[in-house]
Amino acid sequence: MSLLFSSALATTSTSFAADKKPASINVFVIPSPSADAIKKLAPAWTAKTGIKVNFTSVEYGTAHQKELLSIQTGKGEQDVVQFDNTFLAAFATAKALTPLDAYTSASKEYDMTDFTPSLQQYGDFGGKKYGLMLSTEPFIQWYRSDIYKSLNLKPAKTWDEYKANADAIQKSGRASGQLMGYGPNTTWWWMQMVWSFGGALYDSNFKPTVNTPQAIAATKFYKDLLSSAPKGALGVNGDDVTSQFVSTNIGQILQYAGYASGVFDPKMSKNAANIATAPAPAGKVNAIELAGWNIGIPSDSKNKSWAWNFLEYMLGKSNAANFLNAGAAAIGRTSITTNKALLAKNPYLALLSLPANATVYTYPSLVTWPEFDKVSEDGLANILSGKVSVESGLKKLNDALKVVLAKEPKH
Amino acid sequence: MANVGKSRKAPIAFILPSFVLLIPIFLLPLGLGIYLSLHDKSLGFPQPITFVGLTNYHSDVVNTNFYSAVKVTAEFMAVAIFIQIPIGVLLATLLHSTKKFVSFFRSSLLIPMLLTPVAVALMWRFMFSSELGIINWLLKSLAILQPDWLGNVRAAFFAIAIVDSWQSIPFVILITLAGLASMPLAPQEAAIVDGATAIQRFRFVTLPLLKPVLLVILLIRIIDSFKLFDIIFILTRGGPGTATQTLSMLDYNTAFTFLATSRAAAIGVVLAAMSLPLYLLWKKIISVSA
Amino acid sequence: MRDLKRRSAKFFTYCVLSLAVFSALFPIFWTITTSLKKRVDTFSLPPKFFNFSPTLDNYKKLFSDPVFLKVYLNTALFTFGSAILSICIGSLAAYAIARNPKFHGKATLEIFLILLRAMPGVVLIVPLYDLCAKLHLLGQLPVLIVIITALNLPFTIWMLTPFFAAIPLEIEEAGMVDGLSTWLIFRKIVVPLALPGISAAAIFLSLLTWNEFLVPVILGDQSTQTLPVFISGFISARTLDWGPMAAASSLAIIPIAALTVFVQRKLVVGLSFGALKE
Repeated sequence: MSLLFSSALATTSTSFAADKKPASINVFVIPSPSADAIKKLAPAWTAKTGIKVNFTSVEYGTAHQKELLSIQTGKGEQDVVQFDNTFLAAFATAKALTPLDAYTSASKEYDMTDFTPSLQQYGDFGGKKYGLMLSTEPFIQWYRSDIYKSLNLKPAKTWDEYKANADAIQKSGRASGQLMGYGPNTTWWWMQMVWSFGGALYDSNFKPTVNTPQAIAATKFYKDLLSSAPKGALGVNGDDVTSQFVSTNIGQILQYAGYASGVFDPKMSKNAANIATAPAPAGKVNAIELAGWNIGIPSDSKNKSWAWNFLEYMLGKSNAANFLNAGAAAIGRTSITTNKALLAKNPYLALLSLPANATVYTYPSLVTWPEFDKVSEDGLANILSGKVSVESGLKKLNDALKVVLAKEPKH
Repeated sequence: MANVGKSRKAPIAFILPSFVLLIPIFLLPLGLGIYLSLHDKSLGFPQPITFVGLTNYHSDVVNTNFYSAVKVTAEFMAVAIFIQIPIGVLLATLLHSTKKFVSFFRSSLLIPMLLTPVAVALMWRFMFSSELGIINWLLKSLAILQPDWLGNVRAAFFAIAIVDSWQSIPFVILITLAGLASMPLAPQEAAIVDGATAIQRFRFVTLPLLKPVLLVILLIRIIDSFKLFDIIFILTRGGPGTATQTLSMLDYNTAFTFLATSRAAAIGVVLAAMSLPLYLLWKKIISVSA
Repeated sequence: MRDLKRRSAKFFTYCVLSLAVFSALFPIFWTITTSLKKRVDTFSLPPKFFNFSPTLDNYKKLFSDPVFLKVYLNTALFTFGSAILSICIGSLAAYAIARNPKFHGKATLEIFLILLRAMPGVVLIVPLYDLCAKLHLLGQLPVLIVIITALNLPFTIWMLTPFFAAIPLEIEEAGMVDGLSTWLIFRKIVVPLALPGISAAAIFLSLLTWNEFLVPVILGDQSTQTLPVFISGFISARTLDWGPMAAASSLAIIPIAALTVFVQRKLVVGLSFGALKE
């Protein structure tokens, strides 16, 4: 009788009872649509469990450092932390996060099988899962359907087609051809190009490989696309790509899928009615850069089970549509990307089902990523502005990255 | 009459609170900074820290990024000395010569100096927006080239120089005005009687008398341009690339973006050493202007 | 001929000054008007200088955010708390310096003060961060207050010294004749006389601390956010949301602009290291 009882317990969603129930839990978020959605839905969880939720919100530039420092004090100041995938390696190596495998494998509500294999591994490092995927943001194409229609263009399937479209639009004078993040976040776009051209950033021995022929070809192509970019492209950061696309006339952009809510909202987007989406173009390799927020439980939290309870509630299968409708960037659960009702309203959701023949790349799992990113950005700035040639610029970058990667701890 | 020199126990007691404050917040961190710079502590790695001698100095001070930061810092200093001071002195002189609306002019010109640099930088960031900002709209309607203020390497420098000047020239005006106000009138009047033009009067009478004031202004502008941080942090974070990365910004980025505490400490030690000559400069200027 | 020259010189003067005033005030005008615009109006081109229908929404949004009210409270505590502490500690030192051309420790103090004044903030903040983290002192308002008091000490002392020096010695000597100790002379005679200068110093210290960014952003946390830190949060996340950002900036700027009008004259002394009088 007790065996039946305990097995029944084991299959319910809140399958533990270890921690004492706290009066409140602390959730650390980074300003984003996902964070807004969590804040919006938190009261419902509070009503259900009686636990208050306190939010800390710190802007992207300093958030991760603050999180790391807070966790290292061991005081358990935060129970849930949102973090970008770029810091996964750093956090995991610093033992700042609780492994979540035990929770996810046992949770029917979270349901790992609702994710495709490539998405299942998001948030994994060194064989353990340290973060749940908070948003699924592959690079996709966003384009102006009205401009395409007037010039009889079709969404590009390859990078050559992308360039052809951009050139045609630029030539027509109706709009700038295309835009990517050529400014402070240029590394994110440049990586995509390198991967599409069959290159890699570094090899298995952590030696940089950014001046291989593939990388050089990719960088040249990336630079050439500047001819169809609006003025000021060299200063455009990640957010700017979107804000310019929605308020000025640019034919197409390559941008993360997570910006959807802002792009299609007529109150925020001048061009909302004329924007459509398509999968990212393929190069020699059908590489797709997958970005997206992570959310996890700090290793020093004193309320781990309740933190998991919170996460399971927010990001579980049954809450997924709700979460999306609260304005969050979509999470690519199969149950969402194949949901006809949602697809009718948000066609772009289909793109979150990454094609089977695509090679999915996430941000490099480097502890020294912040420096790698900055050094690359500096090197690329010189190349893109024409100060140095692509070849010599990449050679210099490679040498600089050698120094950075030399500091990478073994993992 | 003044028995000031007599033995007073007061001074030690009176400055003791200051030392009590300065030891943990000035001396101790300075010492800790030196200690950290000789080891290999990083924010991200909780590994035990080891002594590495001068490695951090080698990797982060004797290196192109550092030299580039020195250059950028020197360039901002040059703007402070050769552009802000002359303009400020000019405006102060003009202001001093007016009779009407003096109070209005003076208040208006001084406001920018006191505003919160972070808020100021955010204000200008909005105005500098390449596509949507008002500055480029104005330039466009005047058919002048509209630079990408925050994204172009050259333009970014000017953007910061403009914002810093907007906030700093008022300071120059203020101090110069005070100097002008306390100048004796006799030499000026004598020069007018001698038939000197306004410009000649300025060069040969006013300027020499202003020398002590100008030295103080020079010192403070050198120090403050060396320390410039908030505006750069908000406008460009040192970018694009390293175009506006001053020594301060480089130190910050190393410490809080790369999480490389020890390497940042090494840079900090060098910056502290660079501040030493300013003490000598200060002593000289105070003695001249006394 | 002379008259024409003088008149054109005058015209030139007023033109240049007006241009300068316009440059000084326009950005402020632009920020305040932006804070009163609906989002669509904030990035419409050509820009709308006066032809927009104003809205208080941006301010309403700020004031209804409980975080914002806490931020304002933190800023007030940080500013006035450290101003009071600074005056207490600084006036003692300033008095000692004003009254004694040399004494044990004066040179040391001077070196410390000038170095502190000349060093970029980051230099001390990096080790302070490390220290505070180890001692669990991050994110505590009292700690921030003490730290900023120390960092403002050069300014405090240099601003106050001339005011103490200006008090005639005879008055103090009268007190000495009466057998009062130095401390009592200071407290009962000198301080009341120096009050105008002390108030001026207090105002400027408050201003300096109100504007402080690096210390609260690095050594504080969410619960100790001050206004500049809060404002800085508007950068990366919402580049489209100029309205609330302008509103927050305006709330930082307007009080100061108003204050300037009243306090211009006193500025000179403290900002010039005490080398210049009013």
